[in-house]
Amino acid sequence: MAVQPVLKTSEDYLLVQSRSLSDQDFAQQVRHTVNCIVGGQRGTECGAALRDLYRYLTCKPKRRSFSDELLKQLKNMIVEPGKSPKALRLLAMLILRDLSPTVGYNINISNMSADLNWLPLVFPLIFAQGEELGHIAVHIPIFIRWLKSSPNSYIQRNALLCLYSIQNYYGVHLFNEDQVTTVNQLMLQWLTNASLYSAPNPYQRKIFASKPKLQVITELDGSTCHSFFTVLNLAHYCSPDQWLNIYTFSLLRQWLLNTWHFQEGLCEISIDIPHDRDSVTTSSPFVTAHSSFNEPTFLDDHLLRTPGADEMYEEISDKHSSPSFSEITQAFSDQSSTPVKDMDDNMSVGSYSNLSSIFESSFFSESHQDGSLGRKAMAYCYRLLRQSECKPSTSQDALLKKACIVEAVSLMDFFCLQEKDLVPKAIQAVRRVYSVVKMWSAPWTDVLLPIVLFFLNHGETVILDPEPYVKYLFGEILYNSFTSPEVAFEVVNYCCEHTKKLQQSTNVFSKYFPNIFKVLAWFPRTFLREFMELLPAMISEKTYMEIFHFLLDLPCLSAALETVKQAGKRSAVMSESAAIFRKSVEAYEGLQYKPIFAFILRQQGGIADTIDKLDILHSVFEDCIEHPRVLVCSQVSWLMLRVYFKIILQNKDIDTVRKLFPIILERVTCIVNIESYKKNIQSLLATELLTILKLYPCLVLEYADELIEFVHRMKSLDNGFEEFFTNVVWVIGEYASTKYDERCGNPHIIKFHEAIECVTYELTLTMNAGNSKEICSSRLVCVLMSTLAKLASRCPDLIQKVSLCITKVAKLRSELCVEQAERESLLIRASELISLLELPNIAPLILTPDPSIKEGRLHRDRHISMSFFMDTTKDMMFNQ
Amino acid sequence: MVYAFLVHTLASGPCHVLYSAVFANEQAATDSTNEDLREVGKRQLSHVASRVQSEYSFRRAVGGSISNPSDLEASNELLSVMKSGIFKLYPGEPFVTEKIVIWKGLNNCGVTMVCEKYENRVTAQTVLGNIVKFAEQHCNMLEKPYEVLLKPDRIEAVIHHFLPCGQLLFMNHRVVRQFEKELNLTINNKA
Repeated sequence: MAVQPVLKTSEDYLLVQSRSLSDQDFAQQVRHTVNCIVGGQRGTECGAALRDLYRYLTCKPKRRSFSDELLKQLKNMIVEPGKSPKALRLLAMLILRDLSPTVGYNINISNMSADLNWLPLVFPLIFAQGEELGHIAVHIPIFIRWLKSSPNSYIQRNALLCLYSIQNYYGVHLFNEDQVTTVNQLMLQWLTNASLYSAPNPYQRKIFASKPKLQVITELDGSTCHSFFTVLNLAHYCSPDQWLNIYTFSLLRQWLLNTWHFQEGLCEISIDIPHDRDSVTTSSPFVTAHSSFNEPTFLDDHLLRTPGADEMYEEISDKHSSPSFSEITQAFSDQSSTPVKDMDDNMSVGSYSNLSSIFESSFFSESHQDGSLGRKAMAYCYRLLRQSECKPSTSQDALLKKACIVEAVSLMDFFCLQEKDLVPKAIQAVRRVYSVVKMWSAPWTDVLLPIVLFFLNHGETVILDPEPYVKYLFGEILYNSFTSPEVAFEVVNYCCEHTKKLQQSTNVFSKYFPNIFKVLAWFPRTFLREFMELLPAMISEKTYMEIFHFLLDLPCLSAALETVKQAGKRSAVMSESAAIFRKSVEAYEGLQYKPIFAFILRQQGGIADTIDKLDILHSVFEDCIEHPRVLVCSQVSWLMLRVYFKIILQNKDIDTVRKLFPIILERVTCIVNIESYKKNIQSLLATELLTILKLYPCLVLEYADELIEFVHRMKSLDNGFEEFFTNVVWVIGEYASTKYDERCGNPHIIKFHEAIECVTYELTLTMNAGNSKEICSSRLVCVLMSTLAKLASRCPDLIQKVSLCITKVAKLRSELCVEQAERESLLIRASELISLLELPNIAPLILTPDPSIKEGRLHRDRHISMSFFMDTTKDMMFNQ
Repeated sequence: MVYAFLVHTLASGPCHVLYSAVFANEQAATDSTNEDLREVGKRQLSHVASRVQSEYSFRRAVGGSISNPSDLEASNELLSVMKSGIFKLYPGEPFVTEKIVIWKGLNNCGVTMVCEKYENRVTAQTVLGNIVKFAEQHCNMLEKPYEVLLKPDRIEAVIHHFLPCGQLLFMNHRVVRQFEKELNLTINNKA
């Protein structure tokens, strides 16, 4: 029986009601809707019917059955001629889209009778249906045709978007070479030839047939535009070619990236592709500057001349001359305050012709006759960077400006990667932008990232050291803005995407990891996986110790960051009650703990691995440990440490592990006081201890003193560390043997024995004297006894003492056992060990077997005595 | 390009997708199982919505109080009180290729955009801000998310104008204004 869900909100109620509508009622609703549509109603009733129908469909994850008649009616309704409201058409489209992908309806524009103006409303359905059901391949030529020759700019815009979507989601391979060339040519025209005048107000009714007065487009700050139109120009109302310019630039970068790839595979076979250039230039209504496309050089004044969108525009634009691209690039050189040496004009011309030579030998063969899309795009980017120096008047424009810088720099980066000669000029422009945006008061980290990447990628070419930029980004900027989710994401994503580059050319990971980790401490949930990916890049010979401490204290960092935030809030509100963590905040504001905060909040690594006052550090944040951020961070830190050990042990470097080993013994008892965290870390380190010593058993002897000290310390520790302690005792028993390390003589064994015997007695005695809380588990007692027996088996002098100890301890501990089974197993283990020790020749064989026993050789190799012995015994027993 | 856009609930408990628009059908080409692809798509979207819900609940838990949206008048202020976030979806989890999710949320209403990896995220944030602003204007969804279920055509109209075919456009304030006019005509049944 289904459980009735709790309906907490109106949404829940509405959803449940829509989902539980019976099939019968649904069929009724379908009939009602069909009647509405067929009856020609296009008013409120029809709208309501469609809305309800959509809700019943979309809320139910399983398909409902619907009639073909409905689908047919809906499809027709979207594109029907006439004045039915757009909202209703959108609703019909919404319903069909929710059913997709389905064979129930079929959108094939080539055989659809429709009002062309409404046709773009069905485009989303093509994509919702997918490659096959949406007849994507069939639609490409249709879209190209509209793109080339539709008199309706709205259709053109939408065709462009559709073609872009197709190459993006379904692959460039669906296009043939001619088609790509055609799209390139058109994009090239739209990018450079938009008019410099606003369109007349389309919402105004024309009473008199007089020529409207045309407004000139402006820059973002309201000044008149003296160059070609870009997305950063304000037109009161956009003319059709301006719309196309905006659309083209919006999808330009990815189009180029995708088709460039395509081009590489084709460049050998398609040097000379014929194309119908004439049909393009004559059929497009907005192209008037035909001559510009025949100019062979890029730096030509006519090229960027601004033609009008139609005759009216043409007339005006003839009077208006725009500055050329050379002037724009020149402006960069002239006004550039950067110390990079200016390139002379010849150089810049040379560099562009070089790029064109790439294009000429390529798939983009239109560059035989005219400028290529790539070069025009580069010019557009220069202009955008120049325009971004204007002061915008609205917040929308400020954001747009930011977006344009990001886009332009990314595009230029791409071009420079293709053609190294472009770098000197481009880097000047980018440096200039850098110096401009640095003056902004608004946060601009997102702009900085592509700029720094640009310097990283191309700095070498002009001997520009990217280090100061990197330092600024990962130091100061990150330190001040890691709490912004957008900055945090961008920085982390940037590190993940460019790990190799950053590793090769900078020391970001080894130097700024404390700063980068602040993102994890602040958003522990969001970026865990990214940090797991980044950790190997951060771990190096110099940093691994510091990172170990850092990860263990990550919850402290989280608490410290939260404290800083609370302190900021408190000083802002100026009231005592505003701060949640009074103790931590006071500590932060006081002088006494300043060094501690400075340490935990440090920006750079490499100063010190840790501090000697960790207990104070941990105690400062006692009131924060319940905070959700700190708790989640503690879970994350445990996971990160697991990855950390995996990386360290993968490297198979004994020196690394050798240095880490004493730190593990030291830190296992020194963890910030979060109960679950302590438990998890202790358990993790216990497991890692076993793994480490299995790989490097010699460490037992090398760190004998530290291990013995740890065993002695155990007396004063609480039960929480039992798992780790048990493993320490076990590894001593297992690996303190000449079989693993020849240096392990009797003096070592006696030293280990003394320590373990001592702690065994003490634990047992306190158990009997003290309260029940301090009882250590019988498992630990068993391990202690076995270890003593193992040690005695290697040093016969100890046998008597050990037997006595085992007898006593087993007796005392068994008296405390509650369960009979536990008690029995303890006593049996004790008596087994004592019996073994009574046979000093056999005991080492059983208690200290040869390490090769784990390889299974004893059971299989017929040439050694044990397997011979076993086989003979078997034969004797079973053959008789 | 934006792969999908959705409006969903954020309150604790099961997360409901109230509106969704998917701009392409990636899995159709790769998925050969007999499962209904519509169901697969719905599952993917609710996976994204749940992840946003969990991000939001964490942010709310650590972020302290949230002011009442009805106190706010200007839409710009509205955007500043909304929690926002951004995270990556690795390939296959749940979409075929890597995606970046950008979200904004307040009360019980989350607005989420699933973008392609290479997308200009400054543009994406701006466009999402515009969509939230106009959707709120016409649907009042932040206070009454169920309005989204009752008036899906209004959200669709906003998406249709501000996210044509899922394409993010570089829009200056004049362009936004023109889109806004067209949107108002559509919603007032004059187009």
